[in-house]
Amino acid sequence: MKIIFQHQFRCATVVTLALLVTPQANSQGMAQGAPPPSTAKSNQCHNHTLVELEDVTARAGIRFEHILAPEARYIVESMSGGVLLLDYDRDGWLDIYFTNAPTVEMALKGQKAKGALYHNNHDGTFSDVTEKSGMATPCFAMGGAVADYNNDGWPDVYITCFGGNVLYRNNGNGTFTNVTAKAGVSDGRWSMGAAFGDYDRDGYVDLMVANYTQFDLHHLPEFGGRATCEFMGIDVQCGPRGLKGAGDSLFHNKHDGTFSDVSKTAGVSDPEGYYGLSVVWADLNNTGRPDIYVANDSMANFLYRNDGKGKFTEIGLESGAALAEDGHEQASMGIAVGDYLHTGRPALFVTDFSQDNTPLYRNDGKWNFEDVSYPSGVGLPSFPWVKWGTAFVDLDNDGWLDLVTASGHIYPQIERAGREQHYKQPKLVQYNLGNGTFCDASEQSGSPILEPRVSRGLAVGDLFNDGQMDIVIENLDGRPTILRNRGVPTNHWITFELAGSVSNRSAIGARIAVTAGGITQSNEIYSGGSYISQNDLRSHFGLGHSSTVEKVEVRWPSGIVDTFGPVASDHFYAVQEQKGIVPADQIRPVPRH
Amino acid sequence: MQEGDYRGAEAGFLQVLRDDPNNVAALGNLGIVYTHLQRFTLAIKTYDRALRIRPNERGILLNAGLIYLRQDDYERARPYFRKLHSLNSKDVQATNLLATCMIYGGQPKAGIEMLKPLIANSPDNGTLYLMGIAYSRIGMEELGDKVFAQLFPEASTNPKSSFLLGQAHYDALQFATAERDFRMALAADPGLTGVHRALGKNYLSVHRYEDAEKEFRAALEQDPNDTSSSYFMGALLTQTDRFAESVPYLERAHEADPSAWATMFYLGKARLKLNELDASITALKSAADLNPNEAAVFYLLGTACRKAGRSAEARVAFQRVAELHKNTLDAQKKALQDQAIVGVR
Repeated sequence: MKIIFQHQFRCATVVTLALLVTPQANSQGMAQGAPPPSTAKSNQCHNHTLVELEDVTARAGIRFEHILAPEARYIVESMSGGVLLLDYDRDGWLDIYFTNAPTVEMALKGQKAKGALYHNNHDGTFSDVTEKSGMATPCFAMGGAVADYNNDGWPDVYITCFGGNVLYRNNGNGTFTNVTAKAGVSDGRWSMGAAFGDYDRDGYVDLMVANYTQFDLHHLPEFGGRATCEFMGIDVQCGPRGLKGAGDSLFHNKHDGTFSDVSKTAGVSDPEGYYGLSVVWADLNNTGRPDIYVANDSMANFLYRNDGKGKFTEIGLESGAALAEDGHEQASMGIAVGDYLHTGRPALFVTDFSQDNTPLYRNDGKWNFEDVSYPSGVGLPSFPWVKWGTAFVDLDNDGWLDLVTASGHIYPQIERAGREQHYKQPKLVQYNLGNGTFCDASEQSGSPILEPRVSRGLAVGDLFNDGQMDIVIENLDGRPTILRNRGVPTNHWITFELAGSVSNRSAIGARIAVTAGGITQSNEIYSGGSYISQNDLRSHFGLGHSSTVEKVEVRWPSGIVDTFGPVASDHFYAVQEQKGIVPADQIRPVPRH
Repeated sequence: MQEGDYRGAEAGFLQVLRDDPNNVAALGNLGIVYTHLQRFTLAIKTYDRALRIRPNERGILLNAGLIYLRQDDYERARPYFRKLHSLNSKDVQATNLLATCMIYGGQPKAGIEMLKPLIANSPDNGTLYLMGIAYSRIGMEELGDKVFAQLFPEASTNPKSSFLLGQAHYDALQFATAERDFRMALAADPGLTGVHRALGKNYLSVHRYEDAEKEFRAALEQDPNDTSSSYFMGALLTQTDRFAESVPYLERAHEADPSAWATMFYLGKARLKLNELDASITALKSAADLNPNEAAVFYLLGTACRKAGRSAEARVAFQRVAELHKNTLDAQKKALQDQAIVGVR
C-alpha cells in the first residue's frame, strides 16, 4: 500500500528544511512498487494435497553450469538464463537447451560461453549432445523460443542474444544449422524475449522479438555512483533506467526460409525504446487472431491488439494490463498466460522486482483486465522477491492451473545493503483453489523450492512422460534445477501433441478446450513466454477424478475447428488438423541421416 | 496581491503583460499569484517564460523550484536549484535546496559532497540537519546521530526536543528509533501537538497500518481541525479498501487545503471504487490540474473515464500517462549522459 506523503510547505517561504522532507524508503532509479495493502493476506495451503517436487538435477545427469559474473557490474551480466524445452529429435520425449552468456571481461577477450543441449534418454537421465548439435556457442545468449518455422516437422530454435540473434534450423538428424543470415532475423540489438506466432494465419509462424537496452561493450556504463546506478544506498550496475532503450521487432515469415521485418508497418516497433524483456502471443479476446503481450522492465507493458490485416494497436494502458492497479510502472520480467478461472479467457501473470506484487491480470473480456493480485492471494507471497520465470501449470492434476515462479536478486551487492534481501532467493509454488484464489505452498514444498538460488528462466513440461508436469529452472549461480513432479496418484490427466496441416506445423496458437466431469478447461499452444524461455509445446490438462474426457475441441490457427471425444484419460494423444486423433508416428517426421 | 485579491492581481498583471510582454517583474508576480491560486502548471509556465527572458533571476528560479519541491518532485526541482547554485556557490539557501533534492531524491552521497563546503564554515541548523539525514541514509547512522545530538541536545529531557529528534530519525528512515523518540515525547507530554500524527506517519512507513490508524484518530481527537491527519486518515482508509469511510476525511482535508493534489487523488480513487464515476472524474481532474506530472492520477482518470463510457477523455488521459512515462525515461537517460556515466553513441 502506498500513501503519498504531502508537505505542509508553502511556496516562496523557505522556513525550516525539516518541513521540506519526506521519507522514501527506496529512492533509487528502479521502478518500485507500493507496499501491499493491509487487506492483502498470505493464504498458506491447508488441506490441499501438495505434490512432491524432487530435485533430480544430478541424477538426471545435468552438468551444465551458467557462467557467473560474481559482481555483475554490468546489467548485461545479470539477464541471461533462458531454458528451452523441445523435442528436437521428435522421439516423443522432451529435451532441454540451456542458454549461457559470458562475463563482460570474457566477451572483451573474445571468449564465448557454451550453452548446452541435453537429449532425453527416456530413463530419467539426459545426455549432453551439445557438440553434435552445433548449438554450443551461438552468441552472447539470453533466451529463446521454439517452433517449426519451415513446417518440415522439426522444431527449430531461435536464440536471443546481445548483439545478434541466431536461428537454428533443425536438420532432423540431431544437428542444427545456423540460418540466421539467410532468414534475416538477426536483429542485432540486445534481444531478450522471443516468441513465434502466426499473426496473419497464413500457415507459417512469424517471430516477435523484445529488445532491452542499447549497450556497448566498448563504452560501458560506469558502475555505481549515481542515480540509477544505486540501490538502497549501495553502488550497483547501471540500468535499465537511464540507458537508451531498444525497439522491438516483428519478422514476417515469407514461406521460403526468409523473413521480412514488418515491425513498423505492423505498429509494434516500440519507437520510444521501452525495455522489453519477455514476449508472448496469445489470443486474448477470442477473436482467433493472436495478440502480443510484451513485459517491459520499469515501464508500462505492451498489449498489442491484433486488428487483422497485419496491423496491431497498442492498448496496454486502456485495457488495464500495462501497469499495477494504482498506475505505477513495474519492472516486468516474465509472463505466464493461462485460463486459471475456466472462463475461456486467458489471464496474464507478470513477474517483477522485489517490494512489488506480481500482477495477476484477470481477463474480464472485451479487452478489460483487472489486477487481482492481492485479492487472489498471489501478491503477498511474491512481494519480497525479484521474480523472473513463471508458468501456469496444473501441478497436482486437479484441473486447475497453479503457479510456479523462480526468483533471484539482480545485484550481488544486495547482501551489503543489510535490508533482509539476498542475492539468492527461493522459488514460489502457489496452488489454485478453484475459486479465483491461490494458496501458497512454497514453505511446505521443501528444500528444492526453498533452496535460495539466483534463478532466471523457468519452463514447464512433462520431462518423464508420466503425466506430471515438471519444472526446469536455469540459475546463474551454478547448475540448473530440474524438479520432478511426483504427482497425485488419484488424479487423472491428458496430453495432446498437435500438428497443423493447414495451420503452422507446430500448431502455435491452437486453442484446445477439454470437457471432463462437467468442467471445460482451455489452453493454447504458446511459443516463448515465461522469462525468455520455452515450455513444452504439448498441451497438458489435469482432470481430477475424471477418467474420461467427454469432449475435446481444437480451434486451429487456420480457423478450422476439430471436435472429438470421448477419450480416455492418462494418455498422450497426437492430433492432426482436420483428422483428429492419429497415431503419433503420423505427425512426426522420419529422422534424416 | 498584498491584500489577497489574487483574481484582481491576476487581471492586473495580465494587463501589464499585454502592454509589455517581457516585463519580468510582472511575470514573477503573476507566478506568485498563480501559486496562491493553486494553479501550479500555469505558475511554472509563467516562471519559465520569465526565465527565458532573464535566465538568472534568483527569486523566480527559487519559486519555480519550490513549486516542484512541494510536490516531492525532486527531479524537476533540481535544475532550478542547480542553476541558482551555479550562479553563486556560496548561496546557502540554494545549496541546501539542491542538497535536499539530492538527498531525498536518492543520491545522499552527492548531497553530502554538496554540503561539505558549508559544513566547513559554521553551518546553519538546516545544513546540519540535512547532513545528519544524508549520513543516516548511506548507512553511517552513528555520524548522523552525532549531528542530531548536536541539534537536539535536550532530547532526553525536553518533550519538544524528543519530538524533533523523532522527526529527524524519521527523515533518516530510522523508523524504530523515531518511534522511541515520539513515544518519549508523548510520555513526557501526552498533549504535545503533532506527535500522534508524526507517529502515525512513522507507522505508515513500516506498514503498521492499524497502529497508524490509532495514532491518526488520536491526533484528530486532540485537534479535529488537524488537516494533515484528516488527509492521512482518508488516504489510509482508501488504501485499505474502506472507501466510503475515507470520503469524509478526504473532503475535510480538501476543504482545508484545496491545493493538495494527493487529497483529490485519493478522493477520486475512493469515488471510483464506490462506482461514483462522475464525482471520481471531477476529483481526479482536479488532482490532474494541481499536479499534471503524476502519471498515477491520469491513469486512474483514464480508468474512471473509460468505465463511464467517456472514451475520448479516457484516451487523452492515457496519452498523458504515456507522455509522462516517456518524459521520466528521457530525463533519466539525460541524467546519466550529463553525469558521463553513459556516453552518447
